[in-house]
Amino acid sequence: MHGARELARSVRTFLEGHRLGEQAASEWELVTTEAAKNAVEKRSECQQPGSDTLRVMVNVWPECVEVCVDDHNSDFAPPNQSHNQNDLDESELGIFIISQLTDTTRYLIGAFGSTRVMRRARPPAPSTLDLPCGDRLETMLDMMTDDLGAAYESLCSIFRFSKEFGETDDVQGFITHWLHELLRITGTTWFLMRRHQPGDNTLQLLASSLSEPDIPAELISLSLEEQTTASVETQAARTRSEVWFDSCTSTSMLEPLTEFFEHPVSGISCPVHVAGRLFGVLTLGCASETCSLSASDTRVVRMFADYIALQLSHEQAQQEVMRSRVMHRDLALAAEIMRSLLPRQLPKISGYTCAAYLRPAQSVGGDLYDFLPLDDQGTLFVIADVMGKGPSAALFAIMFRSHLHTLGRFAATPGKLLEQLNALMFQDLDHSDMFVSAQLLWFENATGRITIASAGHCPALIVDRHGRQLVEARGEGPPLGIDVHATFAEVTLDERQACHILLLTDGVTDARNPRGEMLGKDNIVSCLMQFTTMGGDATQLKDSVLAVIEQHVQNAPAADDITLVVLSHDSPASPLTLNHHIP
Amino acid sequence: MLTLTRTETSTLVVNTPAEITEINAGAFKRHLLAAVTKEHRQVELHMRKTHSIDSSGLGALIFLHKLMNSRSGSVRILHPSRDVQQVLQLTRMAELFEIHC
Repeated sequence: MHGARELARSVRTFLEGHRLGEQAASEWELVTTEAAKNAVEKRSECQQPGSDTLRVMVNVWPECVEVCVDDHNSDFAPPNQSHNQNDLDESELGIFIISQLTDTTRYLIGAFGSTRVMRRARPPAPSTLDLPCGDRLETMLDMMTDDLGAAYESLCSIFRFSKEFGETDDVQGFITHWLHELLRITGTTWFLMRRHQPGDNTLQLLASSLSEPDIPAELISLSLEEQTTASVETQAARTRSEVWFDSCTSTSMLEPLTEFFEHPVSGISCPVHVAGRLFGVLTLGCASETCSLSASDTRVVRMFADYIALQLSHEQAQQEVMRSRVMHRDLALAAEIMRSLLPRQLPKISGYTCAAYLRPAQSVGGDLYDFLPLDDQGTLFVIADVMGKGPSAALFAIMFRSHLHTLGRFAATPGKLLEQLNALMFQDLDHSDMFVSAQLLWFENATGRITIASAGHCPALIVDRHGRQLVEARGEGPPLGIDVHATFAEVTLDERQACHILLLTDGVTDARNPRGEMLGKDNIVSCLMQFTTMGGDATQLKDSVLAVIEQHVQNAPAADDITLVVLSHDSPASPLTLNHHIP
Repeated sequence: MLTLTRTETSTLVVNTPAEITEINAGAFKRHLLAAVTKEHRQVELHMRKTHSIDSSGLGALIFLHKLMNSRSGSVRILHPSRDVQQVLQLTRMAELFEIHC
C-alpha cells in the first residue's frame, strides 16, 4: 500500500511538471490513490502472473489528462450515485471519489487483467498565441520586462549584498536581513538558516523567517549523527548537494520542517559550504504543496548560499585571529609576570661571583631560578623546570616559587625543603599529570659549606680551579609531584673545593641544531674545563656557555627553555670531594 | 503523529496526523477507539496539520461519526486544510460533521 501511495505522489509530481496546476494535480493524486488502492485490495483475489505489479500510465494531452491503472479486478460495479455516505464501505467511497473527480471512467476487462481508464478535461491555459498580434507582442514585452525587472532586482541585491559583505560584525543580523530580501526576490515565503560549527556534529538554527517565540526549543538543534533519521536539511548537509522537497516528499524527510510550520511546505535545502567545508544549510520555500522556483531564482538562492558561506568562513577566520591575538596577549602578560618574579639582583657573597640566565622557548615557559638569602646565615640558589611549556607550566612555576618563599625557613636544609615543597604541590601536580624538577644549593656564610639537593633535576656541574677535576652533584630524589612520600638526599662540599658550580636545566644540554642534533653534556663540560684553565668570573663563564649553545643551535628554533645559574669561587684550593647525606 | 488531549471530561481533542490514508487509517481508528470513553459527548478533530486524506481516512471519520452517534455525541472538525475540505465536500461528508474553518 505504501507503493501505491508513492505512485500517486509520483503522478502528482509528473502532472505538476506538465503545468497542470496545483489543484488539478492534487485531485489526480487522490484519484490515483483510490484507483491504486482498489487494485491492491483486489490483488489477493487474483492469482494471475504479474498481479503483484501495479502499473499506472499517465497521458497528458492539450485538452485532457488520462490516467490508466491496471486493476486485476473483474467484478467492479459502480456504486449508486444517490448514496448515503454512512452506508458506503471504503472501497465504494473510493470509487465514488473517482467518479466525482473525473469526467469519464471506463473499465476495460482483458484476459490477464483489467484497466481502469480515467479521463478529465484540462482547463484551457492562457497562451500568447491566442491573442491578437498587437496584444501578443505587448504581452510578450510585458513578460520580458517582468523577467528583466526581476533579474535587475536580483543583481542589485547581489551587488548590495557584496558591498556589505565582510563589513558587518553582526553576522546573524546581516544574514537574517538578506534572507528576508531573498524571500522577496524569489517569491518564497519562509526560510531557515542553520549553522554548522567545526568540531560539532549538529546544525544550529542561526536565522529564520519565524519570530523566536514561535520556534520550539527542541527544534533549534538538528543532529548530523549517522544514526539519526535523514531529513531534507541533514541530507543537504551530508551530501553537500541541494535537496528539493514538496508534499510528495516522505513525512520523515520533512521533519522537523512540518513542526515549524502549520502549512504545507515545499522548497529547497542548500548546503552552505566552501570547498567542501560545511558552514550550514539554507532552506527556503513556499507555504504550498509545491514550490515553483524558476531557474534564475534557483541561481540566486545558490549565489546567496555561497555568499553566506564566505561570510561565515570570513567570520570564523576573524574569530581564530582574535583568539590567537588574545592568546598571544595572555602569553605576553604571563611572560611579563614570570620575568617580574625572577630576582632582580644577584646575591652578594664574599669571595664568590654569581650569574644567572633564563631564555624561555616560547614567550613564557616553565623554567625559573631564584635566590633566597636567609638573614646572615647564607643563600639558597634555586633552579627548577616545570614539565611542559606555555601558560600552564608558567602557572606551576609561579606556584612553586610562592611555596618556596613560604618555606624559606628551611633553606639551610634543601633536602627537607624539597620534601615540604613536594608535600604542598603533590596534589595539584598529580591532578594535572605534571611534575617539577628542581635543584637547591645552600651556601652557608659562616663555614662556606655548600649543600645540594635535587628533585629529579639534571646534575650540577662542579669543577676545581685547575680545570682538571669535574664532579656531577646528582642529588637523589624524584621530581616533585611523583611520590607524596619522597625523600631527597643532600650532597655537601667544602668552600675551597669548588671553583665553578654550574646549575642548569635540560634545555641547555638538549638544545638542538638545525639537523636536530642535541648539544649534549660533554660540550658543556669541555667548555667549563677549558674556561677554568683560562680563568674568569661567573658572568664570563655564563657567556662562554651561552656562546657554545649559540654556536651549536645556530638559527634553529628553541625547543625548550634554557636556564643557567653560575656560582664561581675566587680562589679555590682544596681537591674536590663530595659528602653524601641520605635521609 | 496522532496526539490526543483531554481538555474536559465531556470533550476529547484530537490532533490529526499529516496524512490519514490507507497506511495509517487503521491505527488512527484504533487510537480513537481507545481514547473515546463513555463520558465523551464530543470529539474535536484538529486537522490543521492534515494535508492529505483518502477514502480510508474518510472511512475512519465515518467510523468516528457512527461511534459518537451511537452515544448521542457529535464530532467537530476544526481548521481542515483546503484539500481536506475539498474531499469532505466532494464526498458530501461535510454534511455529517460540524466543520469550523
